[in-house]
Amino acid sequence: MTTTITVNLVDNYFNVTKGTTPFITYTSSFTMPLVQVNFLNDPNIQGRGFVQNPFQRTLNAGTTSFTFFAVTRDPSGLQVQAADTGLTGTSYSTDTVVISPVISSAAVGMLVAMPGQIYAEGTVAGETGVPSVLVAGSSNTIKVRAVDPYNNLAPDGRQIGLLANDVYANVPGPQALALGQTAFNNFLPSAATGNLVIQAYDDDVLLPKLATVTFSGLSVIPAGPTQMIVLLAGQSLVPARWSRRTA
Amino acid sequence: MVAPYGVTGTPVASTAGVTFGVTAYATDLRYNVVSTVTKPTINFTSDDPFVPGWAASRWRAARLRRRA
Repeated sequence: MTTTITVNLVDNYFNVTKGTTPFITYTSSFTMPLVQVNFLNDPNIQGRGFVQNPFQRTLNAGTTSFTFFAVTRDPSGLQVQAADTGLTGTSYSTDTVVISPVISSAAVGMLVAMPGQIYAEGTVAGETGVPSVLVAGSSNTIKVRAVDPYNNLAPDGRQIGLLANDVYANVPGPQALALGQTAFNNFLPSAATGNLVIQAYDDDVLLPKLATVTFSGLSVIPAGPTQMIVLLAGQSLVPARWSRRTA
Repeated sequence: MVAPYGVTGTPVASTAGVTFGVTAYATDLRYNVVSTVTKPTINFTSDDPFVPGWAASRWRAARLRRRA
């Protein structure tokens, strides 16, 4: 949602100062300040290019306005600071306001966070970190969340499923999101590969469906050696197909 | 280890007196080849007491190939 804030030059009694006041003597050399708006806790507004960086305007007759929209969900609100750049020889005090709260919009997609990754709301990628190398036969937790167009966590309760291209992997069954997110525990890859592919899909009847998200290029390495197998002419290896021996 | 785990296919019939290849791999519990294994010796044995030349063999890079 677009927000417009107005920055006013005021006197000691908060009267908008358009010209001469008892406190500011208007002369021919009097220059209005160049004001810069800073988003103290949402770098993604400028990081994603939604407003100029720096975001500056010269006051006109003591006032100007800035229009923008918050990008990153923040229950504590968006802190917006108006500061005099000092570039026109002025040094007026800084003011900070809080626009609260910043909530997410409706879910439009999903994000998968592998071990080694954390969510980063508001960013283009939606998460940071490099997925850890997985070990065949080891249990992992895969997190999935519903997100709005800016990768903010979106409250949603639909059922989500996981798929993997490792046909011998232990893939947990579908789970419902709780307040927009869930963790699939005990995902257990079986095949050593340089390209494990995992998909999270919308398994609910609710429409519109969330777009399937695909995570590819994950590495799975073998666990420690435990046995030998002998291959004879006419045979080939079948890694990852596994059954716990009973004898 | 018994098929279908780890390997697939039926061994071709061998002919008495004719050599054939045997390859041993080190694997994890799920039959993924572990390529980092180096063992000084691996012994091959056979229930054919007349197979010649079954000396211990050096194991390199997870597998060992022998001509039986």
